[in-house]
Amino acid sequence: MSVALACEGLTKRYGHVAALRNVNLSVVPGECVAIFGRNGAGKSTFLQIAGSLIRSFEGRLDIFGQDIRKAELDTRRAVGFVLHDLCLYSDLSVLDNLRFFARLYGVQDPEAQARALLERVELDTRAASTIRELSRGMKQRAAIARALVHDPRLLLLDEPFTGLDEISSQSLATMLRDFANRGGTILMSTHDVERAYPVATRAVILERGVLTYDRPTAEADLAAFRHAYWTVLFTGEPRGAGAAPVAERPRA
Amino acid sequence: MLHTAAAVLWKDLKIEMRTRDAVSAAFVFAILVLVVFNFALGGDTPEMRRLAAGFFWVAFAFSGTLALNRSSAIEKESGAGRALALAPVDAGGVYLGKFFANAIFLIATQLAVLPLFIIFFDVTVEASRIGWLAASFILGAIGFAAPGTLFSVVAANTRMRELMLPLLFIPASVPALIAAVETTSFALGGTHDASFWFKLLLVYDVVFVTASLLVFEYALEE
Repeated sequence: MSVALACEGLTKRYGHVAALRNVNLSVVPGECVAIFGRNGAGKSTFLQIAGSLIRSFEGRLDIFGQDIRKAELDTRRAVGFVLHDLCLYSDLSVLDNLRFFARLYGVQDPEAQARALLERVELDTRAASTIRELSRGMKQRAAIARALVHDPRLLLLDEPFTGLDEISSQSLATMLRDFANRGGTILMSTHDVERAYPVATRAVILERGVLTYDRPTAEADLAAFRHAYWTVLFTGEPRGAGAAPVAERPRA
Repeated sequence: MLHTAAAVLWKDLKIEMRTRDAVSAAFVFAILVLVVFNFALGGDTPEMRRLAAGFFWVAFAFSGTLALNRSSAIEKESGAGRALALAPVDAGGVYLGKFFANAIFLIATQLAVLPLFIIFFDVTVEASRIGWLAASFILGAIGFAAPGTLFSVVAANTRMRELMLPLLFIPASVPALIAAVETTSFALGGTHDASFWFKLLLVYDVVFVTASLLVFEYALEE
């Protein structure tokens, strides 16, 4: 089976502090993996390494079979990244932002692609508005459109539900399911269990840089996972929902 | 690389046309500096006309720094520069796009300031020397934008970017500023031969554009 993302022994240190410690993870195409963990657990660091924003780390990380250190440009083409910041130019219109990034990624018809995406994220009526003029939920949808502008196969999202109201969260969840249904792979970091867990097909918990929980969401309902999550947060050990230590479980 | 440069140039021009932040701030600041010099040195004197080129470039150096700071600030706002860093593009293309945009903003500022400069300092440009004036403006702006674009990105990743930019790049641009002052001075009726300064400015521009192009990738890394 092909693998969208695979890492072995992934370790990242900031001075004497280890943000990630010997993380091993394998994600197959079509999976939607939610990485849970408290602030500073290493979630964003993991995504930034996968997105090539952090180049210095120990271990190995492959995107669609290619080592990101050896095939940086190819892996960047395969990845769309929604960072915690919007990563859009506030004084450009939504359409101009998308056109600009489409041109950077060498999209054949930037105009058509930008307009198609605006329709997909339901921002076609606000194409001419600057990012500054949009609501928080609309900005987040524009950020997702920016990340999808080059048709990536792997979508990375850093805290995508932050600051969104219920309706915007539902809209985001629908967009993520739509992306996964088209064969895309999703990896998102979050501490919003209520919103992210129902969207995910697999849940992972990072605690102080260590992978302490890794199970398909179908194996534990929301209440059971919530219990396991809180147990990890308070004890650092996986409990509840029948969670076994990560190393003992078979992989997909 | 040129494809990326064209996209970045288009983006920066579009933002500037919408906001007019860089050119208008630089224009107002340059005019203020020229007004202060004009009043401090007292109107229409031969001495002031002799020093006019120097005043022009001092005003330009300060105001140009504002424009360059704005250029790097738009990449920091909302983390847009990180999305640029994520794209599978040559960093040299990003540098060229931003460099051309900055050079255009600086030349636009010079052209906007020029009429008031001529009035304040009562200078005249002979028809035979208009080419020298244009060359000094264009090559001076390039000499300012080449290291300025590189250092504005370096400074943007520091804690005190507004302070760091002039500290980093004005010392580096001193040769270009001196050569630009001498060339402009000749264009405004100076009697000395400016060909040496013109050649120095040209060499400075080629060296700094090339060097900045080569190291820009490292400047983009946070």
